[in-house]
Amino acid sequence: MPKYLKKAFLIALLIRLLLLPYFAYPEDIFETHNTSFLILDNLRNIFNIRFSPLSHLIDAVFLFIFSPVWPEGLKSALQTQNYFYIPQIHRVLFFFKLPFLIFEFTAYIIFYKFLAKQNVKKDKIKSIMMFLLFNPAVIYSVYIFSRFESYGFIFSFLILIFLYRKSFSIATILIFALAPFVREFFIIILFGLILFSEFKVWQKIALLILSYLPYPWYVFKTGIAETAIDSYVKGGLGYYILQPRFYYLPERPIYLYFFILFLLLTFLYLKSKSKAKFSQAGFINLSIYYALAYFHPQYFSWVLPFLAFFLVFENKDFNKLLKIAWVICFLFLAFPFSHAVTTFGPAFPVANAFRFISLDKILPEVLLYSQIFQSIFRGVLISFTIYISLR
Amino acid sequence: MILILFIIINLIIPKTTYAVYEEYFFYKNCQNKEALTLNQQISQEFSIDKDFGAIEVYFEREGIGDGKLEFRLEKKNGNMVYNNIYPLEKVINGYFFPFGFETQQLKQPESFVFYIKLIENPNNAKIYVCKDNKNNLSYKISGERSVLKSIIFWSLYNIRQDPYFFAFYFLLLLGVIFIWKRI
Repeated sequence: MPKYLKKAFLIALLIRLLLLPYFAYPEDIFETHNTSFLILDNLRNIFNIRFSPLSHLIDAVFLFIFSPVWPEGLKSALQTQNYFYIPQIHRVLFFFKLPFLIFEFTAYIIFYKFLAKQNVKKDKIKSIMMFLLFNPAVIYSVYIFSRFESYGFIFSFLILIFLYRKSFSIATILIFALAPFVREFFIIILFGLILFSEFKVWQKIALLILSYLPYPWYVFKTGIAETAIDSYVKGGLGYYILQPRFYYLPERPIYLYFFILFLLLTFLYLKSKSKAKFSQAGFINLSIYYALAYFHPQYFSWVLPFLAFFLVFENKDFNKLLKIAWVICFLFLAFPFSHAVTTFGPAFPVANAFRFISLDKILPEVLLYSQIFQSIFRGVLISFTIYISLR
Repeated sequence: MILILFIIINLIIPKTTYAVYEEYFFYKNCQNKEALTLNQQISQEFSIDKDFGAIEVYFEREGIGDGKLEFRLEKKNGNMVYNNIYPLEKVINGYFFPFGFETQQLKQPESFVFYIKLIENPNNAKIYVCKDNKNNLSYKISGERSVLKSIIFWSLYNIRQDPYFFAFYFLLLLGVIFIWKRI
């Protein structure tokens, strides 16, 4: 690894270390770790988790590894949801979030090694690694909002690398099958990735079946189907996908996500000559979701591996496209700036007062400005996505 | 990031006028609901090591009345700190009612006791407090500080609470900076 990249990794590491013990959106990180403690108590509890079971299992493994550092009373504070009064909160947050850092950097190192082997130009590698290492969306989502989104990064990069190498092996099948257990968004993108891959038809069919069967099997086998479907279709990812729609006839909706997604994937199929067409398909799928639907701020980090992967294989306009990608990632910050709870709220471990700061004290009508910038974000993102699919 | 936040707060928020509410202690457990009867006194002892300016007690109520509640705060040794009478109509069902007083500045952890007494209830409104099985009330201890003072206070407080972690943490940061300089 060249010297400049080692230095960049260390600066990025320093930024993340500075954030580890001081920021978190309490409901999410403490609730998921409470669940992971339950897995640690009894492994069978993994079958009661209604979302991202593998991410919870990873957390549980690290809870076990770091068990000597947990302060007394932590488990009861988590169980009683007394999140603001967790003993030795900085130590707790540091070690809760350390696995996020380990997974994120491992994913980047895997990606870097892959790019170096593919003889990608050094300038491109440098630009794309800087994009990942200093990306505001990743820094906010994983280290300020503090969600385990970086666990998905390794799976995303491995999936993309396997597809690029056309490597159809047990490892490929395993990674594809396990990905939805890490984060459910893989369910909505795997079909596009597989269809746009250069595998043989039988391989595509086999991979589709083997990728899509295990997760529903787990959901129905463990008896969490009702709660899982409830939370995903009525209240989560699925709900947000189905909400943007218009009616061409009374009671005849067109769901915009599906309509625009398949329009753009068709264009992509007809026009794209990229070696990494499958990563464009993954990017288009997720970015249509972000452009059209309401989403939790941390979700945006899901798109970055796909964006980075196809950008690096773009021969034309790489620098221009990367600049727009940077702009989109900064515009993304308009989402957390809509509410005090997602801006100053995550700083509650720094000082309890941050829980009670209201944004109006700083900038009146801040929600209005946030929504204007959210609209700009959606506009730029959808234009960028259309451009990518039409090239 | 902390430094950036610190600078933003200092530049934007007027320190003298923008103080924020802070919670130092929160406890809510409604295992037992106890109705307050006229002239019955309930009490709660607590120890605290932070300056505080309010005790907030969780009430539930049925009916509206013009009655009065007496609140009294004493040090554990019996020295009176604060005493006042509050109109019952201000007590909202299902909320913590704040009994505010001049900020108690503490140099070391101290123990206090607060007392609540229903002294008038002409309409027989029913007022309940929540207690756990050990007879502890549901209450909060809170106060108000400028954001800057809050950051300084909590930073020092947290370092004092967990010196081993912070020693490890600062060494780790120094280690990363050292390696960065050596490359």
